Formats: sequence, structure tokens, C-alpha cells
Amino acid sequence: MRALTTAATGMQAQQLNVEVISNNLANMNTTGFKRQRAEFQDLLYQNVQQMGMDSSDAGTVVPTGVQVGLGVQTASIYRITEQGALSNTGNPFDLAISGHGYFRVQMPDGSDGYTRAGNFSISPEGELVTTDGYTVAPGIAIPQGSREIAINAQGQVQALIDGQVDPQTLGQLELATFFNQAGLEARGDNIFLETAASGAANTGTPGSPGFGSIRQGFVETSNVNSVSEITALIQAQRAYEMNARVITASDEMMAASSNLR
Amino acid sequence: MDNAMMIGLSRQMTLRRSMDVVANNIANANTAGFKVESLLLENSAAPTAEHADGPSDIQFVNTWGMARDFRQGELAFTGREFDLAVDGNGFFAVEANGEEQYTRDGRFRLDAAGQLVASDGAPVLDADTRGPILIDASLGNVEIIDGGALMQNGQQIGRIGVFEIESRAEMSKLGNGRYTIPPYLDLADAPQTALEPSVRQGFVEQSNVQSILELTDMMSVMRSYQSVSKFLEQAEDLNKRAIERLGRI
Repeated sequence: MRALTTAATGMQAQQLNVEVISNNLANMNTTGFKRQRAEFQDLLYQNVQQMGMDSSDAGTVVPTGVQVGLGVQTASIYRITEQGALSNTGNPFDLAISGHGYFRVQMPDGSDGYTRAGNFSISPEGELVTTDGYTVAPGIAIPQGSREIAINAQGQVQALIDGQVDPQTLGQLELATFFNQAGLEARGDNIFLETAASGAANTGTPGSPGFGSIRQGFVETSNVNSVSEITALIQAQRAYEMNARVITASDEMMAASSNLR
Repeated sequence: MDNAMMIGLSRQMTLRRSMDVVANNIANANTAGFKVESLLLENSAAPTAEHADGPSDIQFVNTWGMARDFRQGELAFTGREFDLAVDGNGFFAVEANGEEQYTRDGRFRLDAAGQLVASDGAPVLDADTRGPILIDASLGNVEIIDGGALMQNGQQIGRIGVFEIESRAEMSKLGNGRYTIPPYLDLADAPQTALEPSVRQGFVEQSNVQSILELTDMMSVMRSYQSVSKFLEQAEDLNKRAIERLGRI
């Protein structure tokens, strides 16, 4: 009986759906988190009776055929990269991107990582680093005795240094964009890696066409919408229950047959 | 006497198949663009040994075909730029395995080359060129206006292909939410570009499975199956008793 395995694929799909939803809800307060969505497609079809076959000598054909579907499969778990809300923190090293783009981060193994979580800090060496201590490319060194660090929307970092009147420019932040942001690989720790699906990183100055601008003193909150996640959770749970009912019903049908003798 | 068993068996086989179809509908209750399917049954007369007038007394049941209910699924708002839904008739077209395939699932995205693609990377076709649609996302957001035109910075950069298919009941389903036109159909049945399709941006067409109907279907299939089993049991019992009684003589 196909109905048993078909319903099992349905239960597996809804289980995955609940897993994705629970990860979204768990990350409701994660800075720069982008929510995900499980997308489903119907699985193979089995042709029990092929359409287009001759149904008589006069050349009439079977118009519709009998195609029995074998269930559901996961097409992708898609990351929805829409902008999260910006929340004001007042911390000068909290940077939020308003619009397209990612901060480039130097990973410990020398490769590049990309992140939207701009809650940065200063390393003991005076460099701008992420919460894990990874350098934010292209490397901003903040000299000792700096006060009043100002980062403008174009990513220019300036500081007033003790004993000097004019602010000193310390560096320029860069953003990276991708053709297909949803194709980035999530590495955890709010870091994404470039893949063949995302396309190569295209770096540029914040605020130039195609790039977002930088807001100092803000962090980008997660773009998870709790109401829509909860409704999706209810739908997933009910769908799971219905599939379980199909398994029970198929089982009863098989029991009816096996009790014949 | 054996006819009763055979007729019961033919009914049970179609009921099992109906259960498979119901299970597939329920498994796809959350699949975007999915259309409900149902089995069509027919009675087929048992061949008789000698010619007789009028309909045959004995009728088996058999599956005759498959019907898809192409009614519009609900449109769910997502707000995502490349979530598209056709409101009304018509299908999006993608190119896969060197042929055009049709789908109602409009959850598209851009690939690394900037092509608008479906989740398996198959390019979505333009209404006019029937080729892939290229979008440079860095130039600004894309807006899809009614009629399917893709607008970026006030310029039209393409038109989403929506195709109307006259003989949609005869389309063959591939899985992955895709349909193809079977090769035996002639040109008169070829898909026509819809002139003024209603394409909604930021919406996903949900499955049109109505779970209550499917569950009641499931229950009636199950109960019918059980009653046929009962009837088979009685037919067999009758057989047994006949043999016993005849054996006594």
C-alpha cells in the first residue's frame, strides 16, 4: 500500500517544517538573523495507466491516465533576507546595515566570512572585531587615546584623538553584496560563507548604488515575525496529525484484509 | 459464485488506489501550487460466454482516469520580492531537461548569474522571448506589475511568462510541482501566452487541498474497504457451507 509511505513522507516533511520554525523562534532575538522557510514539492508520480495510450482500434486515446503521486519532498530551505528592524543601542561600535550588503570578516583560517550582525567591539590590539574576535575587513585600527569614534553612513571611521583638534580618519568600512544572497552558506555564529550558488562577492563603499548604508549606534534585529511563525507552526502540527490519521486508516484497511481468513 | 469474490476484489483494488491518492493529497496539504487529485472510476462489464441482449449482469469496477481540480488555491502574503502567484488561469513556465515545464509554484529566486530560477535552478521563461530572465539586483528592487511586466527603476526589463493551456486536464505531472504537455497532443493544444495575466508579487499560491474533505474521503474509503472485506467474508462463508452441505450427500 503506497498510502502508508506517502503519509510517512508527509510526516517527515512536517517534522522538518517544525524544526525550521523552531530554529526561527529560537533566534527571534539574534542580531542580524535571517529567518528560513521550508519549501515543499510533490514527489514522483507513478503512471498506473499511461495517458495517450490507444484505448481502441479506432485510434482514440486515454485522455487523462492514472497518475498516483508518492508524497511530498523538501525542495529547499530558503533563507529570507529581508531587512530586520533597526534598534537603537547608543553603543558606538554597534553598526547596522540599512539595505543590501554584508560586512566582510576575516576568519581565523584566513578565509572570508560575511555577516549582518554589526555588534562589534575593540580587540586588545585596538582593532575593530566581531563578538568572536574576528577582524572586520579591511581592518580598522583605533589608536590609544581616541575618543568620540564616529562612523558615517558611507562607512568612514573618524576619531577625535586626545591632544588633537581635527578628527582623524581611521579607515573606510566595506560592504559585500551577492547576486543570490539566499545561496550563502550559514556557518553559524551569524557568519555566512560564499558558495558557487551565491556568486562571487562584490565589494563596495556603503551608500553607493546597490549597497546599503551604515547606521552607527544601531543593531539590526532578527527578521523573524513571531505571529507568522506561530501560525505556520499550527499549520504544520495539524498537517502532521492528518498524515498520522492516514497511516492509521491504511493500517485498518490492511487489517481488514488480513482478517479475512 | 466466484464472481462475487472477483467483484469485491476489483472494488478493493480501486479503494486502495483511492487511498493512495488521498494520502498524496494530505501529504501535499502544505505544498505551494499543489492541485487536488482524485480518481475517476468506471464500471466495466464482465465478458460473457455467449451473446446476450441488454447490459451484462456482472460489472467490475476499474480506474478510468485521474482528475485534477485546478481551482485557485488561496494566496498567502509573504512580501518577498520574487514570490509570485498567478491569480486566475495560466501557468509559469520553466526550462528543465531541454523542455518547457509548467508550474503554479511561483517561489522563484536569483541564481549566481542573476537569472530568475525555480528552487531546482531551472530558469523561469519570459513571456515574449521564451528565454531566461536576467535581473541585476544591485540596480534596485524589482516590481512586478499586473500583466507580469518586471519593472526596475521605471524600466521594463522583461515580462514573466504566464501560459494558458487549453487541455490542462491532459497534462502529465512530473512531480516537483511541474507538468508537461504530453507529446501526442497536437499544435492546437500548444500553450498560449496569456495577454493580460494577473501576477501577484509577494504572494504564494497555497495548495488547494481542503483537509476536511480529504479526511472525510479517507474515512469513507476506509469504511467501504471494511464493508467489502465483510462481504468477501460472507461470500466465502457461503462457498464453504455449500461445499460442506454438498459433501454430506
